[in-house]
Amino acid sequence: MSYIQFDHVVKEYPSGEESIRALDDASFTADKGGLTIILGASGAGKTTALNILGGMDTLSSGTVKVDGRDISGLSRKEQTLYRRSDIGFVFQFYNLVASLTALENVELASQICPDHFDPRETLEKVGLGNRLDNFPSQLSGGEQQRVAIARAIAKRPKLLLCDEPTGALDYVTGKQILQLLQDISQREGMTVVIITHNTAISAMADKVIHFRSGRVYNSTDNPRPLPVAEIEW
Amino acid sequence: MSSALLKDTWRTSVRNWKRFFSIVVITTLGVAVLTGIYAGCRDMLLSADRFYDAQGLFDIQVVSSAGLTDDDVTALSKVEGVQTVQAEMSASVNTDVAGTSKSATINRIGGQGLNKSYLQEGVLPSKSGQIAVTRQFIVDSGLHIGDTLDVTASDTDSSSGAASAQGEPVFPGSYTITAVVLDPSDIANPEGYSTGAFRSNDAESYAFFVSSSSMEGSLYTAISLRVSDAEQLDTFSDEYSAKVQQVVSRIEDSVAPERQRARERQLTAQVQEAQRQAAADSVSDATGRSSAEASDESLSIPTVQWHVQNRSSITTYSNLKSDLSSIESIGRAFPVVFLAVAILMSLTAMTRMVEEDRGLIGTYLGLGYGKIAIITRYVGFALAACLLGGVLGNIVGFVGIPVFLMQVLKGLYVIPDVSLSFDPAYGLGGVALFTVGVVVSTLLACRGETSLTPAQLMRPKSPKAGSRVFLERFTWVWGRMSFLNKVTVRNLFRFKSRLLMTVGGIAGCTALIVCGFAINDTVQTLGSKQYSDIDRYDLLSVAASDETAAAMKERLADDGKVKSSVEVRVGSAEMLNAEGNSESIQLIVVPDGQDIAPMVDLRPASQGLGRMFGFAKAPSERPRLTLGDDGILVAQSAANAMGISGNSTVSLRADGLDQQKVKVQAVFRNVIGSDVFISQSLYESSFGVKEAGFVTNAVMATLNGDEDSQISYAQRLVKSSDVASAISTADMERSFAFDLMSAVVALIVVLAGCLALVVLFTLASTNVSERVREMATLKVLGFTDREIHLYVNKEMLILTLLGTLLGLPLGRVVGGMLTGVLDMPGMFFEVEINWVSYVISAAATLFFAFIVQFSTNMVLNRIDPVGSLKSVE
Repeated sequence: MSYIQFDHVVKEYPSGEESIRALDDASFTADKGGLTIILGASGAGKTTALNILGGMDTLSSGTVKVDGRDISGLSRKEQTLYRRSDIGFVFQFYNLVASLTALENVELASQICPDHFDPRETLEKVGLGNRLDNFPSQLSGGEQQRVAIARAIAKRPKLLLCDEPTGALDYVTGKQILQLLQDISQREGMTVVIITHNTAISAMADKVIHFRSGRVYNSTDNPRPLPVAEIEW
Repeated sequence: MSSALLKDTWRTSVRNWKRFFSIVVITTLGVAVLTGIYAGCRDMLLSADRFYDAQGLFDIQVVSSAGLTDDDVTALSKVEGVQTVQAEMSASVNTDVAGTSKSATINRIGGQGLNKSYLQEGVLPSKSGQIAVTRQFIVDSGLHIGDTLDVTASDTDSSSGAASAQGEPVFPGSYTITAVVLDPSDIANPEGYSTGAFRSNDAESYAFFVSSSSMEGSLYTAISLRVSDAEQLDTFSDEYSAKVQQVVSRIEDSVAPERQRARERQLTAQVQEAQRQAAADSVSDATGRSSAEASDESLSIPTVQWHVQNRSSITTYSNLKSDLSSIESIGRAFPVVFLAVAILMSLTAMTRMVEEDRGLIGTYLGLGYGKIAIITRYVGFALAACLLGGVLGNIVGFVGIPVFLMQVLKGLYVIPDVSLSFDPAYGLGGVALFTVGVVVSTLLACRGETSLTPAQLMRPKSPKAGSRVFLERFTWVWGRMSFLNKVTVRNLFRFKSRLLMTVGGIAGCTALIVCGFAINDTVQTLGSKQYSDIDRYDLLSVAASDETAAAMKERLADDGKVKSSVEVRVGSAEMLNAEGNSESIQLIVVPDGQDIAPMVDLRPASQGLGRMFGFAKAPSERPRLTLGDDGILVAQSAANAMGISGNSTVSLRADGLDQQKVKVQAVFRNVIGSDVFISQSLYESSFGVKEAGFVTNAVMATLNGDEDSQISYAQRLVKSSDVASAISTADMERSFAFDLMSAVVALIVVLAGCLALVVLFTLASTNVSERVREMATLKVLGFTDREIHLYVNKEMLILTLLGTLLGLPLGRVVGGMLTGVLDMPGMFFEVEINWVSYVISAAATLFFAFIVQFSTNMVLNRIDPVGSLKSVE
């Protein structure tokens, strides 16, 4: 029994008389504590899959199970509570609250979640122990993304979902962020799912899933993931 | 502008319908307030003007202390600028109204078409024995058309001497009522609600109208004149007054002195004739009267005095004018606040709209569109909203509000055929004012973004940096605050301009509401202040004449109703200030040795800033004033309009006495009426009254029994022929009402409430629009809807509370300034705001805030976290 079960999921958006299928019978699984990378071109349906997995979108048919729990039929309110307790999100744009310091941005997440990591320690973990009291505008892009990651993992989520986390970062900084995500998966045993269109980085993952036109056309397990530092692209 | 840009402009406008709506509503309200009150007053005044012109109301009326003759008519008709002359004949009569004898005046309907009564019902009298009466009389007497009306000549004509009886009108004693008419010189509405005793205490004289065949004689009561070309002018305008005043001066300077002397010679001749007759009689009588007596009689020929009056001498004309001018003064002050708020809000809304389109502006500039084309997008949007608001505002202002005001005014005055009219200068000017304000603020909003390069614009704007707030230095406070409260405080200080806009906007609206209530409370408490606090007496009884004073005092003593009393002399007088403006006052002479304190609580008036801001000491804590012998005490309500203060010198013209200058000792707190207190010594020395000749003709008294019994006692008392008037302060207080003002206030409160709602709505939607990303982030983090509402609303609530708290005292100040503007003769608006009014104002603002919060919550719920976070802002 896999930790994540994405089973024959269809997602349709009405568009005039026609309807667009963003996900067309997509199925995949992922294991607990693993780092999964979802690859695909724009419009392949990977973001839709991630949003459904994260409780931010609903599906038209099929089932999605996380840790044995069926999340495909959740109400709006249940979705909110699911996001609150089980999901950590990281976006391309860091979406930090500008009026809060780094520490406070992490507290923003931890304070609504009873079972959470200490925000200070979490920031130290992502390497920002000395920037706790800085505001987002005083941090570099990479540092801001670290704060966003700290904010996502401080809730002790079941899943850490990252949508193009390096999209707005330069090569070196991007690599550091990916390394951090790999470390979180390997050392903390966190289940991490990363969306990217950069095929080169798939070597760092435990599992790689390829999306094309709303379908999963290939899913490969990688028994020996490489450390990010060893990957060049 | 290319068609693609036009299309996009149109679609943008449709998408931004909320902003469009805000600007439309604010402009509508502003233009409506600016034009509405003015238009309502103008329509009423124009209708009154038309009515006066249609009825041929006199521009000038000449009355004389010894009647007027055909020679006077001829002389007056020759004066330059006089168009028409009509001799008026009237007679004082008594008639029975619902069991009591009341005085009335029978007027002969003139032949020159002046002062025509407006026929409301029936047929105007044409034959002898027919009479037209007023609605007031119908209401009071219960008679109808076709009923018989009996009158008896009142025998009060002793002043003009026996000789003047020659030519006095002769008229039948019994009539058939054929018509109900409206006398253009008395347009007060008899069926409307009471406007209070302070207005109508001396109006208990009825006017009747008969045809010339019912009244014959050669001596006229008055001569009415119409001034050439005055009909074209608005009777309430300064041009009209100036034009009429020219002719008045001409009459006073040339015709009046000449005709007065001629009339005196004529009367002297008549008296001499009578004396010769009398002498002849006495000779034939043989008992004989001394010649000294006869020569005494010759001395009694009165000096003939003409009074040349204009329309201001007509009570309802002056009342209408002062009522409307006081409403207009309110109408002038409020739009300023509305305009300020409109500019503030359109600046907020348009700035945000331009900011939201940042990337789009960059794209257009990048495509090679000019700055002008882009600015036109937004100016066009604002302009369209403004013009639509202006049109709606003009509709409300020139139709809605005037119709409402007229409903209220119709209760006070009867003016047939009141019609609405549009004043292009005011209507279009008002729209222009708001348009300029909104367009200029739109240009300001555009200036920032369009001056950047396309590349800069297409990059996201760096978010406003967070920063420490001063409160964090107080670690023991900061440490104790919950996390979300810290966030709230940070955000409050982070968006300083929003803080100022919100607090300012809400404070303004609260202040407007408080202001409305201030006027209302001030007016509502005038009665109890005057008749309970200041006037301690329960009854002021004035004798019919000096001769009946003793009988009246005896009656009061015998009835046993009086608890304590003070005797005074009460008379009417004119008071003139240094500039020569006059005001009629009630002169109260306090006999030496009498203490007026138990009857009237004389306290110094509050003045200046203390009065405006309400810092003045409570009246009861101010030292009591005692009337001295070197100056008079003037009521604040009389002094205020004339700019009189302590140590001023004024001239007094008391009845039958020469005009004299006296010093003002102090101005005392008084809100209704025009009382002036003078000591007996000063009265005697100033006016040369001999001590022996001084008689008290009035009694101020406190009474036993409850208010009802006091009122009925006063009513019984006044029926006595010894008593001219018996005023119960309890009755005055009860009948004091000021419905007109309350209606205007209600209007203002409603409009201010609408404004508050739009302001809050605009601010809240701008706030949400600026922070969509922040809200989306919170949603992703798993904040529930309720938590997000709380997160946003806590800030708005704090700002609303701050604004409300600031608005309450602000309203007090603005209310003070406004009521200071409301100068009405015989009234002083001592600002009073009931604490309930503050509570209602605050509650109304908070209620609006909650309504807006509710709609904001709906918007927050609709924010889609995924969509909002993917894009660059």
